[in-house]
Amino acid sequence: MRLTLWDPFKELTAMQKALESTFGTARPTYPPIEGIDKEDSVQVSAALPGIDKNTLELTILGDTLTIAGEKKLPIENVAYIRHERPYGKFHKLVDLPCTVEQDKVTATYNNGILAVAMPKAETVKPRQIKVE
Amino acid sequence: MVEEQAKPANEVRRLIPPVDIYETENDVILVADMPGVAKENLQLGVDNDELTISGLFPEPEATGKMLVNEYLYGNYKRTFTLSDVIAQDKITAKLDDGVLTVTLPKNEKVKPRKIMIETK
Repeated sequence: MRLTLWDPFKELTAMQKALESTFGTARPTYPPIEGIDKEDSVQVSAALPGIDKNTLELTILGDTLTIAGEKKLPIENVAYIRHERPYGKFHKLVDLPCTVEQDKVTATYNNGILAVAMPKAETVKPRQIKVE
Repeated sequence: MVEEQAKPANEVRRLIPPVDIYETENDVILVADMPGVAKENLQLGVDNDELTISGLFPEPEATGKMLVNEYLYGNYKRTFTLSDVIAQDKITAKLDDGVLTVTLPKNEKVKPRKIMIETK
């Protein structure tokens, strides 16, 4: 049996990470995303219907992709009979599994799906080593 | 990590699109979020005073390792009961960036109408 000292700060940071991270059991923040690790690239897609592209801000800092913007209400100053669609400013951080080539990142927006394709940095691509 | 859930191969997941409904002087407007639905996969129908909207968000071929999966593919579908106020034959719709906007014009007789008073 192994005894480990209980570190209260470790627990706090772990909890915070679980809340912020998209992998945690906490409720995911808007927008819902999908992340796929392909051999040569990482693809992150977000379900963002009805977004004004002018409000969208995509940034990569280190190994974190940030998706920020605003989803506006279809019309102002009107009484809604029913109001279920999410709206407002959003700011989501996505932890990437590896370093990506920032200059080669491309993003498309089709049918309300924002797709960000990030080629992996050469140094992190899996490389076969030949045995002589 | 999200675990893969077994799903019968033929079954398409049923999704419920969130909607906003509001009223203007002449119309009732319904706005539904259906991300990933292209025009060719969208269907609208009115039957027996019920409006049904449906759209397919097809799942693409798996091309790598899924790291995180917060949204679902499947078939969006929702039905609404239309009141007598709606002129059913004048309903129009458009799909932009995954948002379906259905305009349901009100019948002429329920629109507020100003009566002009003639002065001689």
